Formats: sequence, C-alpha cells, structure tokens
Amino acid sequence: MNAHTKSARLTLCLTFLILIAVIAAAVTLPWLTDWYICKTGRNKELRSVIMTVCYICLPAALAALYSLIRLLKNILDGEIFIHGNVLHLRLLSWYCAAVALITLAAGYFYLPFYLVGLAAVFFTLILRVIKNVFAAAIEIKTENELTV
Amino acid sequence: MAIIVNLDVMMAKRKISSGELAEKIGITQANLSILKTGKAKAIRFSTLESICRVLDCQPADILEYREE
Repeated sequence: MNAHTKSARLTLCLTFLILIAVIAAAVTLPWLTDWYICKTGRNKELRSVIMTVCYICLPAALAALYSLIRLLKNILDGEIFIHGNVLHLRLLSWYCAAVALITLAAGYFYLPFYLVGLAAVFFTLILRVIKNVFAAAIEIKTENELTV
Repeated sequence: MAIIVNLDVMMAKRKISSGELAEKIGITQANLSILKTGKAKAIRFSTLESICRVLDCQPADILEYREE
C-alpha cells in the first residue's frame, strides 16, 4: 500500500467517523443545545434558533458526506480524473453553498452563525476551484490518451 | 474534425494489415485503430515519421484538411 492509498484510506475513515458524529449530534441535538444554553447562560429562545438551523443544515451535511465518501472510494479504485468525481465535487460545493446561505441568514438571530457561514463560503470557493481543476485535468488526460 | 486521416486508404494501397503496420511502427493495435477511425486528438511526429517510413509515403498522403 503506497502513501497515496494510505492517505486516502485515512481520509475515508475520518469521513466515516464524522458521519457517525453528525448522526449522533443530530439525535442528541435537543440535549446538546440545552447544555450549551445552560453553560453559556444565553436566552432560552436561542434554543429553537440553533435547533432549527442545525436541522435545516443536516440533510446538506449528510449529502455532502455521502458525496465525499463516493469521491474517496473512486480515488481508492484508481478512478481519479473522471466526470463522476467532477459531479461529486460540484454537488459538494452546492451543499456548502446551501449551508452558507442558511447560516448567513441565521446570523441575524445569532452572530456566531456568521462565522460558520463565512467558513462555508470559503469552502464553496475552494471546492469550485478544485472542481474546475478536475474538469481541466480530465480534458488533458483525454487528449493525452488520444495522442498516438 | 476538419483533419481527415486517410491511413486505411494508404494501407490498402500498400497491402499491409493493421497488425503488421502496428508492429512495424511500434504502437499498439488499439492506438492504430484510434488513428484509423479518426478518434485521435493528436499524432506525434515520431509516429508520423514511422508511418511514412513504413508505408513509403508523405504526411499529406495520410492527413488531409477538409473544411467543415
């Protein structure tokens, strides 16, 4: 097993761990929110805001993790520069953009959401660039394969 | 594509099979098929040189420009 495969496997394992953590957080969110509000001594009305935003973002987060797992599995299978991976990266960027939109809007009710929103915008931009690099690489690879 | 590959015409004139030509110019039959069917995006000068040498012809006998 080379270093590249090891790294991809490690990333895949971490992605599965994060997936489990996200599901666990989704299940225990009411208690987690109560604990957070109790610990920080904030207004109890914030509970519904945090829970609503987290549950709205949950499908996007799960879908993003699914796309990431598919992408990593393709990479482990040696299928790196394929159109399927460009699609996964595009979907990932859209899920990040959706989370960015939701959290930036929620920042009006709870300021720290602005930070999450800005981070999501940044991730969206990075993913778009990587997606464009992959698309260009596929073009170069196809041209290289069809050069006799 | 506006560039037409007339390799099959030249091969028929020289009465040479795909397998024999591929072996003589040192490329795989799959690559030769890509070239013959017009799917190729580019051709190396070294490949073109080998083809011309084996088929005893000029590059213009193999490649042709046709306006689309």
